[in-house]
Amino acid sequence: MEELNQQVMAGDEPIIICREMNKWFGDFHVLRNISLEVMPTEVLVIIGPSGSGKSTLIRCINRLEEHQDGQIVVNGIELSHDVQNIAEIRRETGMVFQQFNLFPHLTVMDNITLAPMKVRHWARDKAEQRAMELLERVEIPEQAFKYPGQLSGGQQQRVAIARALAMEPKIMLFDEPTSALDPEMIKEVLDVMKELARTGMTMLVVTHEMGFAREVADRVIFMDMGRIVEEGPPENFFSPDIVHHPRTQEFLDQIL
Amino acid sequence: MLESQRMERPADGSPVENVLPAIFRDGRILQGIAQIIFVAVVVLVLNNLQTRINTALESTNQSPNFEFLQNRAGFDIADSGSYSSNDRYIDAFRVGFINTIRVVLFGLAATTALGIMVGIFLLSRNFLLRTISRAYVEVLRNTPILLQIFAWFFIVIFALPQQQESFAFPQEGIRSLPLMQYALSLFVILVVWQATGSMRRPAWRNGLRQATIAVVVLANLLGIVIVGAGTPIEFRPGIYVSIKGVAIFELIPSSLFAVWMVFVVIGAVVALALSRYFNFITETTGKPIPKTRYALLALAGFTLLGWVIMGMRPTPSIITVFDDEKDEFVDLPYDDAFASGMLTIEQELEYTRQPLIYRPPTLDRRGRNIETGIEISPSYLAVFLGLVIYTSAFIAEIVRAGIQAVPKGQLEASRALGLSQGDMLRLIILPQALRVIIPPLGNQFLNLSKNSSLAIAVSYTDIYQVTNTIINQSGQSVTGILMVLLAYLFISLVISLGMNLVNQRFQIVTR
Repeated sequence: MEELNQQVMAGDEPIIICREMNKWFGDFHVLRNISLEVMPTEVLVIIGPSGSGKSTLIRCINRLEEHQDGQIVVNGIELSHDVQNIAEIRRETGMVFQQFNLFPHLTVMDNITLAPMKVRHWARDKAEQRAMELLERVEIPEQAFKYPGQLSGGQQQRVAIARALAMEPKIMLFDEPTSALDPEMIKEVLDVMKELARTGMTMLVVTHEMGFAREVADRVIFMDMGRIVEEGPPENFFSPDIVHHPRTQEFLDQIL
Repeated sequence: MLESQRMERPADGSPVENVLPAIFRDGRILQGIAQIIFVAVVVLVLNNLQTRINTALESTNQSPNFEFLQNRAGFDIADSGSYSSNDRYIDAFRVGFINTIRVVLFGLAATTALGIMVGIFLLSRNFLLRTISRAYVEVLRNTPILLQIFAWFFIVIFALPQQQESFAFPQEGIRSLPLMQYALSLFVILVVWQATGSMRRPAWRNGLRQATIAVVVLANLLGIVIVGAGTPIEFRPGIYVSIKGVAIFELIPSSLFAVWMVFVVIGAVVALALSRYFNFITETTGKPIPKTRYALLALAGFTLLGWVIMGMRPTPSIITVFDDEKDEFVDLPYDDAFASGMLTIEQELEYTRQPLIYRPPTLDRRGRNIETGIEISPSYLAVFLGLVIYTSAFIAEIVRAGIQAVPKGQLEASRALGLSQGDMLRLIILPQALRVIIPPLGNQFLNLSKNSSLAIAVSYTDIYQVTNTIINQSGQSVTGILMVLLAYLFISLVISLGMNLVNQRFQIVTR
């Protein structure tokens, strides 16, 4: 199933296109002339210091933030004020948040089946069956009927991934998915993400996990002050022989 | 003192020198002793108070009792229904209690609706709406409620016209089709609208809808012009507003009411069954169905059907009425008898073709008092508006805070999943907001019910005002105050109980 999707989607057309995109928060220019293309099945890791606009960038792609200038095209649909277009793009885009954002009043199962039933209009049986498959994939099927508050942080984040996947999105956005986790829980979440990357999911990942970037990314982007400063394959990015932009070098020196 | 002694002790690790025996240094024992002392003081004070009250009352020959409640009250009460001054004190008390319940019950319903609405407006993206509702809340919750009740009574209601020049709704002399005809027409259009909703081709759907509207309008016109079935009727105003308060029309159940109710109940059962069935379909196939709309249509359909069938009942062709002008009984054909206005209310209820009879308010011959219709006094209006509007400002803030207490991440997650605005509100925001809203909402309900005792300021005859009169006349202040206390306690406890039940229902398990 996943392999089939991969073949169908792995065309030459980029699945996400940003052209000359600009965004301001009041007077603060968060994103400056962002131009970016992401191909289907590509895993793109976005790194950079805090406040560099990397989260805002991926939040613009499913319209959690509104860009003011330029163009964003997702899966062939341009993002504008057209609510139908926004709804269509959100259906095809899953998102995982730093703070998980699970619905605390719903069980794990209901968290996962809610959107497929309400948005995709699946029968409950189908939605629940799919949810169990996903829970097995993220290795917590036994937690299906607990509430989010009863799970550990790592388990909650894996449920959040399953919830996003239940909509069968073409693109997954990860906004610092491991930043709120204890060190020993980071690995279990990264493992799920690695497995997801292997199955050919298009992924945009904002993270500070350089190990993950090195191992899984097809391309790494470094952002600073709302600009894309440098991009390249991870082999180059993390190689000591490459001469980086001074700002990139400064950042890499601090974290590596 | 003890501290300083301890400080002076050399830090050689020697044990604290025990001033008291061990038993008096045990925290549990100390707490127990404190409680015993507290209870003893309270009992002593109460005992002393009771002795003093008894002595005082005995000296005025007024020992507290409940027998006096059976004595003749001897005073009139406005807003009292069938009560008269010849009734007993206990009857006066009952009238007051009912009046309090009347203002509290309707007040709670109205203030909740208004408060929720303003609370949502406070969060509106529309600048004007947000600013106006903010001003509403700040003005109302920062001024005393007593002042507000006075303002309603002495400024707003006193500015209304005299009774002879009442505002009337709708305006007198408006000619209208019979109400049933409107209802039927609207129902047919709604049904077609709903049924065509799932049609794929917009051209067909719109064509069918437009054709239906055309047919319905044409049928109405034909009915009026050719058949004469829908002859326009003169519509008498249903609501009058004046300085004497508000008079509202009555709907009186006729002899057909019970049979009609059977249709309504069947409609309700069908609506419930439909809603369950569509729920089942949605669960098993995923197909979204607007089940509430279908259910409401079914209910409306049966209600209307019942009304139409009731209209076909056999009626006598001749009715004997008493003609005031001729001062004798005359026989009139059915339609003429109803048009003459000479039927007694009993006859009307007996022979009508309608399950409910519309009776607009009428004045008595002197043009002073309301004879038929529901009368709402200016005092009631002032207390009602004062309580409702004052409390709604607090409820608005509670609702706003409750909605804002839902973390922003919840909204972002819902949006990222593609949930519609309505689903997000209903399934994610409300369940979480209600948990925060309900406990303080209960407090506001209690506040409203207790603030209703301010009715005395505008002479609304609530339980406190009536009991005040009873105490002044009988001198039974202890019994009187006790009964008012118990009455308010009863109301408050009922509200608390209700809110606790609601609260339990919404405190969803989360861990």
